[in-house]
Amino acid sequence: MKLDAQIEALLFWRSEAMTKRDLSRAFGVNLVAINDALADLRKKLTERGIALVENGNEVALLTSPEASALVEKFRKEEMSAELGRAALETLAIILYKNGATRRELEYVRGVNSTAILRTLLMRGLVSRTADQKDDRVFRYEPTLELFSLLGISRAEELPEFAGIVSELGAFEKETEQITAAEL
Amino acid sequence: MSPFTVKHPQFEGPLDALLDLIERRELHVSDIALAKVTDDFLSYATSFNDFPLAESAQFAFICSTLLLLKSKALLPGLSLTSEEQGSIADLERRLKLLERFRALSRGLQKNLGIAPLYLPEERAVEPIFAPPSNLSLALFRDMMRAVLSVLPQAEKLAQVAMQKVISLEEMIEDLKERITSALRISFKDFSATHKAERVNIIISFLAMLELVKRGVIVAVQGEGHGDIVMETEALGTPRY
Repeated sequence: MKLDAQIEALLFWRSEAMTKRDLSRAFGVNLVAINDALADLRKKLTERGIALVENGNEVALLTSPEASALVEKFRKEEMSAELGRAALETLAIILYKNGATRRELEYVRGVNSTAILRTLLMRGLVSRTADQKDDRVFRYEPTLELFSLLGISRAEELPEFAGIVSELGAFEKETEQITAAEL
Repeated sequence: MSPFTVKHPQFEGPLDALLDLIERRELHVSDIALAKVTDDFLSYATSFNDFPLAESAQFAFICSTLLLLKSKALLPGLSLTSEEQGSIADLERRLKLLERFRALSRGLQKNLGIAPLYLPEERAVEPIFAPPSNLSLALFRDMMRAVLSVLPQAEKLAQVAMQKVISLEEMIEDLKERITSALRISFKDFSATHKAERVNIIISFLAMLELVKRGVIVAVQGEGHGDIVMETEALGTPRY
C-alpha cells in the first residue's frame, strides 16, 4: 500500500492530530517522504467531505470546510434535542443507583445502552470513571451539574429514593441467584 | 465405557459421533465406511447410563439404518424397500454435508482474525452541559416506576403431584400369578380388582396381550364386545 494511503488509515483510526515527526518515526521514512505523501493525500481528498489539515507541526483528518455548516447543524441538534424515553430511563437508573456500569444498566433495561451513554456523556449529564474494583470497566455517574439542575445535593434526595432502591436491589439479587443456579 | 475415546467430554449427537468414527479410520462417507463402523456405533449408543431422552429417537433411527446397511453389505442379495433405500441415502447425504462443513470450519479457523477492520478510536469529548428542557425530579421518579413495573418476575412453576399408576410389569406378574392358581379367569374379574382408575383397565388389557404373546395364556372372546376368558397354556398339575 502506498504511503499516502497508509497515513490516511493511521490518521483515520487515531481520530486526532499527529505530528509529522511521529509519522516519520511510525513509518520509518524521512520527513521529505512524509511531506510528499501528505501532498498526494491532500490532492486526492479535494471535493471530499474529509480534508487533510495541517499547521507547521501537526496534521489531522477533519471535516472539510465546505461541510462546516452541515456539521454545525448536526451538533446543535444533538445538543438541544429532547431525550427519548429510553435515554430518560437510563438516566433515571443512573441517578437512583448513583452511578452504574454499562452491564448493570443493560441488566435492568434489557437492551444495549452504548449509543445512549455516548449522548448522555456528550451533553454533560453523566461522567465516566474507571470502576474501583476493575479498571477495565467504566462507571457512569450523574454529573454535579445535573444534581444542581434538579435542585438536589445528593442522590438520596431523589423522590421515593429508599423504596425504589430497595425494589431495584431485590430484583438484581433475585436474578443473580437464578443465574447462579443455572450455571 | 465407550470403545473409543470421545473427543469432547460432553455428550455428542449421533451424526457427530458417527462422523468421528469414520474420520478416525481415515475414510470418507460411503456405504462401505458406514458398514465398517456400525458395530462401534452400536456399542457407543448402548454405552450410556443416562441417555438424554431427546436424542434417543435420533440414535435409534440411525442405529436401525446402519443395521440395514450392514445387512445389505453382508447379504448382497438382500432387497431393500424404496423407503429403506431412501433412509440409507438420506443418512449418507446428511453425513456428507456434515463432513463438508467440518472441513470448511477448519479452513475458516485458519482465516479467523487475520485481517480485521477497525473503527476509529473514540474521540475525546469536551462535554458541555446541554440538558434538554424538560428534566425534573418528578420525571425521573416516574421513569423509575416505569422501569420497575416491566422488570421480569421469576416464574413459579405450578407443582402437581404425580399420580401413582400401577406399572405394566406389576400387572403382568399379578395376572400370571392369579391365572396359574385359578387356571382360568375372565378379564372382567381380573380387571375388577384394579378398576379404581380407568388407566388400570388399559394396563390390565396390555398385560393380557403380553402374556398371550409370550404363549403363557390363551384368550378367547365368545362374542363381539363380550367378556374375554383367559386360560393358562401350561398343562401342569394344578396345585392345591
